[in-house]
Amino acid sequence: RSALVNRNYYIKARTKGLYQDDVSSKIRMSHENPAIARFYKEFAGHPLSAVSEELLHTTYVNRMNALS
Amino acid sequence: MNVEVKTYRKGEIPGIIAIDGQNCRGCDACKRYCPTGAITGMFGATHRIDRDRCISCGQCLINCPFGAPYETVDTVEEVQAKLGDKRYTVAAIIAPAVRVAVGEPFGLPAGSLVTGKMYGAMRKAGFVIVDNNFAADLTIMEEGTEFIQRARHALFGEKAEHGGEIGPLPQFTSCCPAWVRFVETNYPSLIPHLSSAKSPQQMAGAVAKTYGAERIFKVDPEFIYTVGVMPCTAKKFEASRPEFQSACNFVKERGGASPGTPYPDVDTVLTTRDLARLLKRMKIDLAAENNAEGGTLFAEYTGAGTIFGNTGGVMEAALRTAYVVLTGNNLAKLEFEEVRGLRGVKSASIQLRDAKYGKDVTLKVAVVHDIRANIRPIVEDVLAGRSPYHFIEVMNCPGGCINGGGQPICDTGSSWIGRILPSFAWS
Repeated sequence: RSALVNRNYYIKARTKGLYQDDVSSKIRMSHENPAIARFYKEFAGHPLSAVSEELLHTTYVNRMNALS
Repeated sequence: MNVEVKTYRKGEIPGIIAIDGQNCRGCDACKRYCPTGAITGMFGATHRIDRDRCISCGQCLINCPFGAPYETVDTVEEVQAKLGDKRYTVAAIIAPAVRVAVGEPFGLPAGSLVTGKMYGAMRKAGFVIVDNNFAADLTIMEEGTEFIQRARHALFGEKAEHGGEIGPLPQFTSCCPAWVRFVETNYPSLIPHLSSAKSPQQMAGAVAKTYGAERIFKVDPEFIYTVGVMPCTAKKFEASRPEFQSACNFVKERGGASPGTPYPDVDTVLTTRDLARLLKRMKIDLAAENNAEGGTLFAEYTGAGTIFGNTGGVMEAALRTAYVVLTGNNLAKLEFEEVRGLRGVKSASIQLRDAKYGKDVTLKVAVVHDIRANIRPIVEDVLAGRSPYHFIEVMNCPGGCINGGGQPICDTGSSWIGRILPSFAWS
C-alpha cells in the first residue's frame, strides 16, 4: 500500500466509527439533548442570550498586516 | 533558535509545529501536505517552518516519513501532576474524533469506537468527563441560531432582537482553529463571514468553569483544571488565545473571587497521541478497560454532536436542527448523504418552508475539507460576491478531525517508512 492509500484506509475506518456512534445514539439531534435543555433553563436562557454571547461567542483578529 | 514572529499576540503559543533538523532528510513530503506553503528548504536540505505562515494543523507531522516534525508544546507531565493534586478537579474535554482513534495505540483495529473504554481509562486516571460532544451540541444551538438569524436577515430583512449587527451570508463555520487562523492570516476580509460561535473546546471550557463550577462540580472555578483532549495540534494554539478567559471575567463581573492571575477557559490541551502516552505512563491499558459511563451531565451527547469529527458532520448536525427550527416539522430522514464522503467540495440544496414567514426557501450549503487543495476557489467566490452558498463548513484536514494532526500516526512507531522505500514513499 502506498502512503496515501494507507492514510485513506485510516480516514475511512475512523469516519465509519463516528457514523456508527451517531446511528447507535438514542437522540440524534442537538436541540433534543436534555443536558443542553437543562443548561439553557438553569443558566444561559436561550441561544444568543447575553450570557451566551459572553461565554460562547468570540471575535477574531486581522493578522495579515503583520505578514506583509 | 529565536526567530521573530509577527502574527502572534502576547500570551499566544507562537506555532505548535517545528522540524527536527536531525531527522529531516529534505524529502519534501511535508510540503505536499502543508496548506499554507509554510515549509521552506531545498530538496535534500533540512527544512524549516515559517511560524507566521504555519496554522499549526500538524499535517506535516503525521505525514512525514521520517518523523521529523514535532510539537513544541508537551504538557503530559503537567497534566499528570495535576491529576495527582487533590485540590484540583481535572476535567477532560474529549473531542469526537478521539474515541475512534485512541484505541489504535493500544492495539485495537483502526477506527474502533471506544467511548466506554475511554471513559473508563480516563476516570481511572482521575479525570472527570466533559464530553466535547456535549459542547458540539451546544455549538449547534448557538451557531445554528446565528445562521437562522443571518439567513432571515438576508432573505426577509429580519432585524436583530436587540438592534445589533447581523453578519453577512455565507456564514462559515468556526470550529476549526487552523481554518480560523488561515482566515486571519490570509483572508481577514472574510472575518465577518465567520460564525461568532466559539469552537466546542472553548465553549466547554467556559461552561465547565461557570455553570459547571457552580451547579455540577460545586467547586471554585480556580480549582477546575480543564484539559482539551483533541485530535488536533492547532487546538493547543487556540486555547492560548488571550480572549479565551471568558469564564474568569464572567465570574469576576458577578462578584466572584478575583484570582491573582486570570485563568484561561482551557488550561491545556493534549492531543490523542498525548493522551495515549499519559495513560501508558500511568500504566492504564485502555484496551483492557470495561465500558464505563461518563458520569456527569456534560457527558450527555447526541448523534449530531459526535459526527462533528467527520468532514460534513458539522453541517449535517446544523441542518438537522435548522430544518426542524425553520419548518416546525420533523425530518423524514436524518442523514444528509450529499455532505458525506471524501470529495473535496460537497454541496447540497435543501428546500423547505420557513414557518415563521410562510415562504419557501432553498438553502444552499457547501462543505470543504483539505483546504490546501480545495479552499481557494470557494473563498474567491465569496470575496467576489458570487458565492451561491448560504452556509459553508470548513475543516483544514483531509477527511476532517478524524485525520487531524494530533491523531495517532498510521502504523507503529514515529513514521510509516519502515515498510516502504523512501524513494517512492510519498508518491
